[in-house]
This record gives sequence, C-alpha cells and structure tokens, in this order.
Amino acid sequence: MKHLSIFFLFILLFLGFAGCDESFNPKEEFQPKIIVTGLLKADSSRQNIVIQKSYDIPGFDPSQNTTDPFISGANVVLKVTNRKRNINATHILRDTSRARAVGSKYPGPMPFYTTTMSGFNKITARDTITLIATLPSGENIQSTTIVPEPLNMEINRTVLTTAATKQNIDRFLFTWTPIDNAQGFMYYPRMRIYYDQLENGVVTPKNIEVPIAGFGEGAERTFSYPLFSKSRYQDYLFALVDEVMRDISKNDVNKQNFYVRYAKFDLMVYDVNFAKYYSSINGFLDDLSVRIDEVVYSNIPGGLGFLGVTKLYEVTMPIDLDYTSSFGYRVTPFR
Amino acid sequence: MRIVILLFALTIMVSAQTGTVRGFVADSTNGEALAFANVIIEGTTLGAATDIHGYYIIPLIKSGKQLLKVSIVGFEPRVIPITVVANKITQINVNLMPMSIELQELTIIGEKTVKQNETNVGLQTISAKQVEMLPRGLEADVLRTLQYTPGVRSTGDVTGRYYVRGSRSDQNLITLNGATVYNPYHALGIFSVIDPEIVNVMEFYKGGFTSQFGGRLSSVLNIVTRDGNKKRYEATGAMSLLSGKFAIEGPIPGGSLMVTGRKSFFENSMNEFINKQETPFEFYDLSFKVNYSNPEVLENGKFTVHGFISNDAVANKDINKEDYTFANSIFGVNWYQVWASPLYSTMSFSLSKFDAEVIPNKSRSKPRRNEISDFSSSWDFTYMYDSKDELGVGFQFKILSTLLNQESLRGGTTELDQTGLDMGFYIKYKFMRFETLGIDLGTRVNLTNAAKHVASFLEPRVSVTYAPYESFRLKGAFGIYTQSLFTLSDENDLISIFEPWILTPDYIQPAKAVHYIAGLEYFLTSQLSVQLEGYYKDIQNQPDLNPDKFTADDPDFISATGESYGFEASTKFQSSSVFATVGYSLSWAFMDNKGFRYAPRYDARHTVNIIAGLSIGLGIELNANWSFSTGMPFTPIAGYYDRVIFDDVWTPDPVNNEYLAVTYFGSRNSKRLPVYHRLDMGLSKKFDFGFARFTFDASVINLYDRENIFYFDKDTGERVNMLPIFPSVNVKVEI
Repeated sequence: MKHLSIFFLFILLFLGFAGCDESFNPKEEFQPKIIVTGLLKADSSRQNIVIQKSYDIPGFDPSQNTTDPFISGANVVLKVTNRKRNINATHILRDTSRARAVGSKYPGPMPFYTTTMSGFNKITARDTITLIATLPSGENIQSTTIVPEPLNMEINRTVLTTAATKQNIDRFLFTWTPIDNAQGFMYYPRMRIYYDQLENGVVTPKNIEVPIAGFGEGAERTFSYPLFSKSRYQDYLFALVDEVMRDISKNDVNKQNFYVRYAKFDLMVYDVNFAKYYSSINGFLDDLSVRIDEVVYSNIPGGLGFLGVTKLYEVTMPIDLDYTSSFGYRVTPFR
Repeated sequence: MRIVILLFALTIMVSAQTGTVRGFVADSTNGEALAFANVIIEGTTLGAATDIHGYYIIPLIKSGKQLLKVSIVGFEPRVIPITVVANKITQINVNLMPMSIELQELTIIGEKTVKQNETNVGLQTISAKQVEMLPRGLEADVLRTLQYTPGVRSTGDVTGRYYVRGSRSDQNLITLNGATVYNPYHALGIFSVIDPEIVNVMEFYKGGFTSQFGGRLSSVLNIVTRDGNKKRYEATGAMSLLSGKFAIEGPIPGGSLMVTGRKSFFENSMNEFINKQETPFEFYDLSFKVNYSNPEVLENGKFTVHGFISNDAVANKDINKEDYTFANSIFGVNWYQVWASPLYSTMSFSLSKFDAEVIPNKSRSKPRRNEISDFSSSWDFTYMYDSKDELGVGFQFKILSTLLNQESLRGGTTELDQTGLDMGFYIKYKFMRFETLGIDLGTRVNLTNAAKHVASFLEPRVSVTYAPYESFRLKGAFGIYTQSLFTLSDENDLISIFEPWILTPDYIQPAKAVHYIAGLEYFLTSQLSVQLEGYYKDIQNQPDLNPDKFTADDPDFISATGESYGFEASTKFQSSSVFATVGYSLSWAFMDNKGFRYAPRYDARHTVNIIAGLSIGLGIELNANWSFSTGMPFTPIAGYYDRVIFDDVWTPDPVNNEYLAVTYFGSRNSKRLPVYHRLDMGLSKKFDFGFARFTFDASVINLYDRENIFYFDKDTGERVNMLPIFPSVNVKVEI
C-alpha cells in the first residue's frame, strides 16, 4: 500500500508539473532596422525623406511606444543621373523638422530631410534617383528608383458631351501607354466634373467623381470607382456621366443655380517600387491569397520602407454648352 | 530461359495436384462483410486475408480434405472441414458469430497478416471497431483516429485536418465507397463528415501506395461504408454533447438498405471546446446505401448504390459578419463481381460535388463561391494465377470542373472556370509465388491531365516485401505521384474557412512527388510486434503562395519544391485484456519557395503517441492516450515601426501624412511553439437492457489540463490555448 501511495504521489507530481504553462515568447531577439519613407514627386523640386528606426516595447501594443523613432542628424543625399539628359547631380538634403500635432505621443517636432528649393531641379522621366543616407550611428543605407517614363495618352472624345455620333460610341475611353512600353507601373485614374453652385447667394466651386459602374435603384443605388491597377485604359459610360450630371442638382429644383465648368481626367502613376509597396499595404491582393504573415514590399536593402516616385497627369475636357444646357444648367459662369 | 521453362513446368506440376478455395466472410448476425479476416488452411502456411469486400482466395491447396480456419478479432473463430478438388475452385462462404459482450476481449485490427510476403508498405487497416476503441476525445471520429498513427500530424486539438509525412493536407485523397470526398470536415475541421457509425472498414496508405490509386501526392484513405443489416431491421440512435444521430438498416429483397443521419446541436458546449469563441456552426449529413447481392441473379456479385450529402453553415447572428456554407454531395454506383475464373472486378461510377460560398451580409467581405464537380468512373480487374501471382489492370477517367467566383476587397472580380479530363490506366503485377518474397510492380499511365500540363506520363510504383523468417519482414517501396488539383489555402493559416479547390493554373506545372520507403516488421512474440519505417519524399512543382505578389496582376502561386524525410517506430502489445501501442516519429519537412527554405507549419521533429486499453470484464473498457509533439513552427515578431498611411492616393506625402505603429515579422516559421502534450482517458460500458443495447462512454480530454498553445494573436500578443480539461459523455442505443 505504501508503494502504491508513492506511485500515485509520483503520478500526481508529474501531472501537476506537466500541466504547467511554459514560458513562451513570440518575439525573436530584437535587431533594429532602418526604415525609409521616401516618396518622390516627379516634376517637383521639393522632395521629402523620412528616416526612422524600428523599436521594441515590453508588450505587444506598439502604439504604447513613446520613444521617438524618427532620426535627425543623418547625412542624406539624393543622386540624380540621366545619361540622355546628361545629368549627374548630387543634392544634400536639409535636416529639418515639422511641428507634430497637439497630443502626439512623441515629444518635440518630427524630423525629416528635404531638398533645398534653390538647389534641386525637378526630377523628370527616366531619371535614376539614388538615396544615400549615413545615420548618426554610422550606419549607411542606400536605395535606388527610376522615375516612370512619359505616357502617350489618348481620349476618344475631347469635349464633355454624350451626344450621339456616327461612330455610335457609348463611353469615354482614356488610354495611355508608356513611351517605351515599360512594365510594372500602376495607375490610378479618376474623372471628375467641376462645377459651381449658387447656394444662399454664394457661389461655391465643387466637383464630383464619375463612377465606372452603378448598382441598384433609388435610395439603394451605389457606385464603384476606378482602382489602382496595371490596366492601361479606363472607360466611363455615357449613361453614368449623364447620371452624374443629373445628380449635381438632384437636391435643387432651380437648375440655374449650377454652372458646369469642365471635366478633368487625372492619372496618378506609381513607379515600380511605390506600386509594389502601396499594393502590399493596401490589400489589393485578390482574395485568392490567404496570408497570416503580412508581406510588405521594401526596396531598402537591410531595412524597411521604400524609395519610390509618383507622377500625376491631368487632362482637362471643356464642356459642350448644348450638353450642359440639356440638364437646365447655366451656360455662362456666375459673375 | 531454362529457369523460366522450369518455373512454368513446376507450376503446372504443382497445380495438377492442387485446387483453389475462395469465398466471402461475413458477420452472421447482419451479413456485413468482414474485411481483413484471416483465412488459413490448418497445418499449412497457406492463407489469405479478406479484402474490403470480405473476399478471399487461396490457391495451391493440396487436393483432398482440409481444415479451413477463419478468424478475426471480436468474432468467434471457426474451423470448417472442406474438400479441395484438384484444378477446381471451391467456394466456401463463412459466417462468423460475434463474441458476446462478456466474452469479448479487447482487440485490434492490424495483427500479423497471414501472407508473409504481402506487399503492404505504409498501409494501415482500420476497422469500425478500432475507431470505437480508440480514445474518443469529444466523439469518435474517423479522421482524428488517423492522428494516432506515426507519421500523421495535426496542427490543433480542434481540427481533424491531418498531414501525412510532411505533406500538405490537400495532398491526402479521401474516398467514400470509391468516390472522392472534397470537403471531409464539418465545422472548420473539428469533425469529419464521415460518421464512424457508417464505416465498415478503412484502408489508410501513408505513402508508397500502389498504382491503383492516383491523383494525390501524399496519402490515401479509402473508406468503405457498411451495407446494412441483411438479417433484421435495426435502428440506432446516439447522442452526445455535440450531436445526435440515427441509423436505420434492414434487409430488402436480395440485399440490404442503410440510411443514416447526423445533426449538430452543439452551440453551447462548443464554446468551451474552442476557447470560448463564438461557435456559429451547424451541420448535418445524410447517407444511404442500397446493396443488392442476390446469388440467384448475381452470383458472387454485389451491386451497390450509395449516396451522401453533408451541409455545413457558419451562420453568424451578427449581420455585420459574413456567413459561410459548404456542401458535399456524392452519388455512386459500384459493381463488385467475382467471376468463374479466379478473376474479380470492380466497376464504379460516381459523381462528387462540392460547393462553398461566402455570404458577406453587411461585412467588408466579398462574395465568393467555389464549385467542384467530379464525375469519375473506374474499371478494375484482378486476376490471380495458380502461382499466387496477381495481375491487376484498370482504366480510370475523371472529368473535373472547378468554378471559382470571387471579388477582391477593392471590387476586382475573379472567375476561374476550368474543366479538364484525367484519363489513364494502370497495370500492376504482384509476384506472390515465392513464400518469402512479394513484389508489386506497376505503373499508372496518364493519357490526359485535367490541368493543362501533364506532370508525368508514367507513374511507376514498386513495393517489395522480403520475409526471411516467419516473424520478420523487410519492406520497401518507391513511387512517382502527381496531382492536378489543389486548394487555395495557406497551410500556415490556423483555420482556413474558405478553401476552394482549383485545377493547377496553366502557368505552373502540376505537382509531382517521389516516395522512397523502407522498413521492417518484427513479431517478437505472438502478442508483441515492432515496426520501423523510414521515408524520403521529394516534391516538385508544389503550388505555393507567391512571396513577391504585391499587385493583383502578379501570379498567386509559384512552383515550390519540398522534401520531407523521417523515421517512424511503433510497437504493439495485445493480450487477452490489455492492448497498448507506442508510436514515435522523427521527421523533417521543408519547403523551398524562390530559394527561401523553411519548415511548414505541419513540420514536427518528434511525435509520440501512447495508447493503452484495458478490458476489465462485464463489458467495461478503459482506455488512455498520451500524445506528445514538438511545437509547431511560427513566424516571430521581429519588432515595430511607424508606417506612413497614404489615405489619399492623390496627395501622398511622407511628412504630412499620419503614421501608424505596426508590427513586422522575422523569417517565416523561424521559431517554434512550446511542445504539445496531452493525456486523454475514457471509460466505456456496454450492456443489454430489454430489447436494446446501450453503450455508455465517458471521457476526459486533457486530464492534467496542459496549457497547449494554439496560436498567439500577433496584434495583441494574446496567447490562445487549445483545449483545457474537458469531460464528455456519449450514450448510444441500439434497438
């Protein structure tokens, strides 16, 4: 009996021990990384770069971090080269800062690096931009991107009207092609109609975006708008343009309170690096992919973040007066 | 050449004095076929085991009076005097009487096979009885039963999903009466759709399966359901905390009929089961099987019509959450025929459909829908020569249609509508003429592939058994396997709700695997046996998520490579009142995705399963199971940083836009969770009361309340554990 008691005591001790929790740390040993946020704008002489370091915190909620990870005091250089333009320039960025919003968790202003207006020329198509940064700690980081090449843009109708034609077309069609047919860029199109509205004696400039599809009827009616994609065209059905034109004044019986000025087609172009970065954090992955580990694109070797370029194209379409008057709108601007 | 002539001459001389005995073995109380029964000629080394139809054939028996001994666990053995006629086939059908509850001893299938040289590498046979005897957990479950097998791994307490020898779960073929089951899980994998009550027998190949099976890279689970009671009408009902079920069966003219159904009602009890999460699961399944085997019309033949439907719903009560529905529907016809010559054949037609749908309601989800339709037919013929050699040939075709409709979060729609034809045949020759050597040599010939590309025109398979001693066998197998379908899922996902099946996209080749297996089996005593098996599996063109998919236009999948290798050891002890198995596996699994090599989530270095059962008489059985496993790989948190938010794509600016603190991760699956271990115990008591038989089961899962980690929430760092200590009770009534 004594032996049996010892046996059961042993079993109980084993089970008690085995049932215990084991310490578990879902983190690996922390190795700080440099993060670059470098979004350059083509055809601009003002470029901003933000540099920070990753951090660790005792728990798992990074919003609790109050130690400013943004880095000042680094030497940041942008090199612009373009053989065709015979450019090989180096620009030292100015170490500066901006005030943070009231209530920010970080003390002091937010440091960043910017080009000096006088010393930096606009970056243009096909320029190769290299960022070289030396941090106060002595660490170096380097990244390169190329400004997207120019686009050939075409529109099937240059004036805003949906009047019937012999060609029997039923939509506006915008197409664009990179001159060298380069791949990897992403495009974000948008068509808006700009108008003035007289409200309580005050003329207010407004605009409304044209959708690419409409669903449902009446109060349930919803619309969808273009997305960023690699597609090189965008069309807008005349019927939806007409619907938007009507919607401009749907809450006002006096149509003479409206003057439609023009329509504008905007096309934002993301270079290869920013396209991948933006896609990876904005979930434009189709749902074929099921991932639990977030994959964020980076072209910062050894670090995180990106160096990329955007370029905005704009095409303005004048309004056809017969078309705007068909909705009862003014054909002359407000004075 | 002289040797061949001599061999034929010897064969003719031997067959001149010998005859063949064949027949069917069945349960005397209900006529149900008894698979894997041992049938031997007393005083000789001649014998056979019945197949899944209860059929046996023994050639080369010396003519004259002999004693035929038939035995299987749970039944009273019979010795039948027979007269063997030279050069004739004598048919002996045998009915065995089940042992009474009081006499029934704890038993298990898998005992020493009568054919020393049987080529059965990687095969495990599991009867319904074995499913019943294993620790139940919450309920007896056919797929969870497999997880006690060395080399089979699960990634959680609450899932029946299984991974075999370092392969993905969608590389396991599951067939029900010959028809493919595409969604074998209820309630996100907590249960399998196959109710153990309807199962007669299961064949489970962990690898190295012969050329008869194709279409999957890893394993085959062939489930044959019961025919239904051929002698009397019977109704069975059972209830547990989670579900209720019924079965009605009985004779019909020339055959039998069985109808079963099961319905969940576990919303409250499941809250405990899955960590107090909401459990909006509902499911039901229904099956029927009509068996016609009238010897006056169809001598030695059996014609069956079977059907199965299962339906699952994840119905959130919150309109802001999405709902899911899943449905299987299977209809099939089988004709099994033993011909006048030592030839038997199986012909089958089946239609298996799977539908899954995501209903977004008012949530941010988008509607998604997947359909797969599989119309298959196969003709299999096996001819046994007097030399005991077997020739098997078969023709198989499968028309596969998959449809996937889905919309991305930004409105982009995807429609994948694919149809393809898998057509081919197999041929295999089983050398069984030598007492100590068996060789199964065959190949599949793929004439067409449902995917655009044919991974391999030939799929050669070899399986060898060498038994130098009665108690010792060496085994080996080699084979090439291909697969044209796969599921759109990430095996690193913890619980995948929507896992559509699609054909391999045109831009990648269908997956292909090569198996190398070697092992030995040693019977130390009649009660104690040891099995050792090693394997290496090389996988090519395995579809894996494209790590460089950053835009919608980038391909979702790339062809990855993989390999797995390991060693498995198991020992079984079986006496009149005690049954115990100890299984251990040491394994490695790797994937190589664009040069990055990592261990997938189902990789486990060490796995131990100890199962023990004790029969203490009066129909009372005690059982226990202890499982141990190395922790699963996971991707660790590497740190945090502030990421800019570009809310307005038209004016993105790194200085003036807001920043949000986010987590970033280390290398994929570079750390492991703590080890997993758990002890379950159960007690079962059977008793007859009046006209009914009651079975009472009580079990406790995770007896010592081990806190096994299931996952950690990467946003909050919260640790979510698997099952805590959980008692459960089942009651079954048979009338």
